[in-house]
Amino acid sequence: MSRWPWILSAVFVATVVAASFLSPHVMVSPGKLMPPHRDLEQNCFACHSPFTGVSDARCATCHVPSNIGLRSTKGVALVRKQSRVPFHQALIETDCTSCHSDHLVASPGQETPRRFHHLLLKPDLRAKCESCHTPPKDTLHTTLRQSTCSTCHQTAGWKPSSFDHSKYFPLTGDHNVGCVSCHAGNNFKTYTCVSCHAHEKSRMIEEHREEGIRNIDNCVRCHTSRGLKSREGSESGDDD
Amino acid sequence: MSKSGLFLQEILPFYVSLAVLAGATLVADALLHYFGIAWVGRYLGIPGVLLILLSFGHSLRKRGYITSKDPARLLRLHGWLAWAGSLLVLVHAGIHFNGWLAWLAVIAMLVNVASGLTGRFLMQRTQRWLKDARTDLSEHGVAQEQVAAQLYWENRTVDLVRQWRKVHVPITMTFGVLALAHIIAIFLFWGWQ
Repeated sequence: MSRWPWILSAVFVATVVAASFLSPHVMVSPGKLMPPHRDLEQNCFACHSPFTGVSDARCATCHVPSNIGLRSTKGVALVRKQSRVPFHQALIETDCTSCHSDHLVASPGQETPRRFHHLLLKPDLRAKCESCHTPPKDTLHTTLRQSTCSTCHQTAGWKPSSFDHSKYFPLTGDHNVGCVSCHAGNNFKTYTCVSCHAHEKSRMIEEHREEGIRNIDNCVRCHTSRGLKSREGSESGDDD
Repeated sequence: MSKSGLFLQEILPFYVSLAVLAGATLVADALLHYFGIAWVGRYLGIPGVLLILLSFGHSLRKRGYITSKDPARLLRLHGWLAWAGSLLVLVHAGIHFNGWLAWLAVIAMLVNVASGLTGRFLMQRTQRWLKDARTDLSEHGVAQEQVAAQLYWENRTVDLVRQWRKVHVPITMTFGVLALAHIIAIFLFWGWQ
C-alpha cells in the first residue's frame, strides 16, 4: 500500500518534467510570442541565453540595429511610412528588452508592449523632437522655434502640457472654454471676446472713447477673466 | 460532544485555516495592486520557498536528522511556516504566469496544504477520541488488557489514520520536484536584473 503513493507521484512528476522538455512553449513559456516570431516558440534558446535571460546579441543577429526601420531582417529596403521614423540607430545602447517583450502576456509591472523611454535616445536626438514628431499646424506651434517643445510638453505624453494660459488670461469660471471660442480657426496670434460677449462695435467704440480709450482690440489690456482692471491693478467686477 | 461543539472544534478550524489562506492571498494581492507594486509578487516566491523549507525542521526531527527538546513546537512551526510560505507563493502566483509547470506546482502546493491541514485535524481528533475512550473505560474500572481488547478496532482506525503520512509525504515530494523544476526554468530563462 505504501508504495503506490510514491509510484503515482513519480509517474506524475516524470510526465510533467518530460512534457516540459518536449513542449516548453506549453509548460514553461509565459505566453505566446508575437506573430513574426511564432516559428521560434519551441526554440526558447533562439532568444534566451541560459541563466542570463534574453540576449541582445541574439536579437541583433536578425535585427541589426543599424537596419531597424530601414531594412527588413532579410535586408530588403523598407518603404517608410511617414509616421514611422527610424530611431534605433540613435539609441544610447542596445537594450532590446527595455522596450520589447516578445511574449504577449504581460506580468504586473510590465507593459506589453513596453513603453518607449526617450531617455534611451542619444541626447542630441532627444532634444530634436521634430525629428520623430510632427508639430501641430496651428499658429501657436508653427510660430515657435523648433526644439522648444519641452518648454510645455513632457516626453511622457503630449498632454497635459505645462503651457500656462493664465499668464495671458486666466481661464476661470465661464472662461474655461475650448481654444476656438476665442482663437478662431486655432489662430493663436489673435483672439476675440465678442464670440461670447456680444457687443455692437460702434457703441463699444463710443463708450470707450468717453473713457479716453482708443485701442479697443486688445481687451485683456484692461479686462481680466473676472472683471475690469482698476488703475491700481485690482479688479472691479463690472465686466460687460 | 454536542453537534455544535463538534462543528466548532473539529470542522470549522480546518475550513477557517483554508479560508484565511485564500482571504489573506486576495488581500495581499489587492494591496500590491492598489499601491502599484504588483511586481513585488514576482519575488515573493523566494521567501515563500524559504519559509516552506524552514518548515521541514519537524520532518527532519521525525527522521532523526536533527534533535529537538520541543518536538511539539517544531510541529506547530511546521504548520505555521508552511502556511505562511504557501501564502507568499500564492501571492507570487498572482503574477499571472501561463506555463503549465508553474500552475501544476501551485496546485501541488495547495493539495499539500489541504493534506497537511486534513492530517493535522484528523490526527488530533482521532487521537483525542481514543485517549478519551481509554480514560473513560479506565475510570469505570476496566483493566488495561480489556481496554485494549475493547478498543481494538478504534486502535486500528487510529493506526490507519496515521497512514495518512504515507500519502502526505509523496504529495510533498511531488510539490517539491515541480517547484524545483519551476525554479530551474526561471533561472534558465529569466534575466535577473
